[in-house]
Parts: sequence; C-alpha cells; structure tokens
Amino acid sequence: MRRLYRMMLRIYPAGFREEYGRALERQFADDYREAEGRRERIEVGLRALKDLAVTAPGEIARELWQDLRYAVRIYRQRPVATGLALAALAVAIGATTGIFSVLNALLIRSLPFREPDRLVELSRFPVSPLSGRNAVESWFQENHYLEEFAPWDVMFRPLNQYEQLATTFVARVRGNPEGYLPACRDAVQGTDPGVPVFDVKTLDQRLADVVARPRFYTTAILFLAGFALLLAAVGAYGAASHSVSQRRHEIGIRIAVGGPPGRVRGMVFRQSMAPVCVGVVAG
Amino acid sequence: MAKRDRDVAELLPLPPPMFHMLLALCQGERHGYALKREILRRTDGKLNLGAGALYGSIARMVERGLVEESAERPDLHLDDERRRYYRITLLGRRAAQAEAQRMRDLVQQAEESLGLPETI
Repeated sequence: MRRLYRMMLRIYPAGFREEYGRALERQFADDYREAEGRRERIEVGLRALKDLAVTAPGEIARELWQDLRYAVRIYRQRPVATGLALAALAVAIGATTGIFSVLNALLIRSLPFREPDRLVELSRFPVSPLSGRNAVESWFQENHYLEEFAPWDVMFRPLNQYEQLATTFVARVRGNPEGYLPACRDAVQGTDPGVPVFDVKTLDQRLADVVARPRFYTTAILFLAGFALLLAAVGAYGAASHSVSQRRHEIGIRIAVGGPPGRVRGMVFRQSMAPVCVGVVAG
Repeated sequence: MAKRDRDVAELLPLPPPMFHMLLALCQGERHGYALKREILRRTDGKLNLGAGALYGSIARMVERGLVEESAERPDLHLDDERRRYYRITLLGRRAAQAEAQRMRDLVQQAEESLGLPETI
C-alpha cells in the first residue's frame, strides 16, 4: 500500500516531492498503521487519494507559476531578443491559425448537403423552366439510379414565375456519380434532342474548379506561414539556447548538488515555454 | 503603517489550517504528524488534514517566513530522526495574533448585528 502511495506521489511536482515526499509517505504510513480493521484502512486510502487529487493541481500550478515568473525575469533582461522572438511567434501562430481556417472552409469541410460526394450537376440546358422541369421530372421517374433532384441556381426565385434560357439541375444518384455522367447527359437530351446539355459534372468536380484559384493562393500563403513558423521556432530556440548558455554555471551547480537532470530539463522546458505562451495569446 | 505591520496585513486572512498550525506551534516545536494530531484534538476531529494539505500548508508557511525548520531535537528518547520539526517565527506569531484580532473584530460585529446567545 505504501509503495502504491509512493507511486501516486509522482503526481506532485519534483520540487515539492523532493522536499516533502518522505514526510508525506511517512504520514500516510502512520495513518494506515493506526487504522483499525479493513474498513478504516480503505477509508485512509480513499482519503489519501482525495487529498492527492485536491492538493496536487495547486502544487503543480505553483511550481509552474514560479518557473514562469523566473522566466519573465530572465527574458526582461534581454528585451530586444525576447521581443523579436515573441513577434515572430505571434505572427507565425496568427498566420497558421488564419490559414487553417481558410483551408478548413475550402478544402477539408465538405459541402453542406447530405452525402455530398453523390451529387451531380447538369448545367444550363435551355428549356422553359416549367416544361423543362416537367420533362426532367418524368426523366427522373423513369431512371431508378436517380435518388432525387432539384433545380439549382445562384439566385433563388420561384421558377414558375420567371422565364429563363438556361436552368441548372442537381441530381443525387445511387452510387458513384462519375459513372452516371454520360447517362445523365443522354437522359436529359432524350427529353429534347435540340437542347444542348453541357458542363455535366459531379459537384465535387465543380467545387474543385471553383476553389482552384483560392487553393493556389492558400498553398502559397501556407508556405509563407510555414516559413514564418520556422523562423519563430528558430527564434524561440535561439532565446532558449541563449538563456541556457547564460545559466550554464547555475545549472552546473544545481546538478552538482544533486538536482536530477530530468528536473533541470523540465525547468528549462517550462521556462522556455513562457515566451511561447505569450506568443500564442498574441497570435 | 509600519513595514512590519504591512507585512503581516498582507498575509491576512490566514487559511484555517495555517492558523491552527500556528496556534499549535506557539506551544512548542512539532513535526508534521504531531501538528496533524494536535489540530484534530483542537477541532474535535473536524479538521483532519491529509498529508498533501498538511505539507502544502507547511511549504507555504516556510516560504512566507511564518515557520522554519528546526535543527534542534527534543530529548533523544522522544526523538525520531527521520521526522522534520518546525517552529514558529516572530512573523508567524504576529500573523497569528493579527488573525485572532481580525476574528475577534468579526465576532464583535456579528454580536452587534445578530446578538449572539451565550451558548449555541
């Protein structure tokens, strides 16, 4: 039981553990020894667990806060280098976030329809909307591979009230839409051989046409943002490396008096994260 | 206000476990577990500090200079070398007095507003 408690104590930050770990362990052992019967021992275990859950976050936050304060003091001694690193981080993180939003909207998120990969667009065959719609409706009834269809235009208005030369229809097919493109074209043309049907594409193809240019710009900006991020990483590395080289003497003493290397690594990492946190907020 | 009083005022209000520990330490040096037992006794078992809460509070009090670790040990037959003993500092004593005064003022205000009965 004591061994289990010792393992659980690893939740506490290293500084607190080194200072009070043995005392904590000893108190738990005293409580456990004094407990009478199984029920009381279980209670002692549960109380220790609760105590750990309540107090460990506070100790972790306290050590983190101490490291951050120390890092701020160190970085304030070199305002120009720190300012440049922060600015680079802020720009890079802002740019990356912005680019991801655009990428997400244009490329990653799918169309706002149910199963958008099954949509086909038949474009602009010049029929009267009323008769054209009736013709396409009968065509839709005859062809079992079409699941549903709808006239489509960039401006929404009642088709029955407006005469127009061209109408765009969107149909949802049962299965892979690319295989049905010729069949769709033939079927629409079958209603009136004089009607030119062109630009028959799946909606995914149409979307790819529409986003080709933004995609190009996005890719270009993505490279720039990647470059900015690289610069920021180099800046953060430079600041951290400079800080460590300045404190080589202090770190040497810490290790010489028995500071575990893992703890020194953790301290350097947490202190280097201070400008990154500021950069993230600014970005 | 003198600097000394300002230092004490910044520490108030003291969290109850800290106040109880300072009161217990006013009567002499104690190790952590003895502090826990003393607080249990003083509060009729109501304040049962876990190890993390106890040593967390001790760590804060050492940081703020309210208590310090004692190098002296009690009589050899009473001592347990593995335990660490703590004693109250002058600042700790003043902070405990100031906290007691703060509580007395609070009780006085409550008495004036509520009219506290002799016993509850």
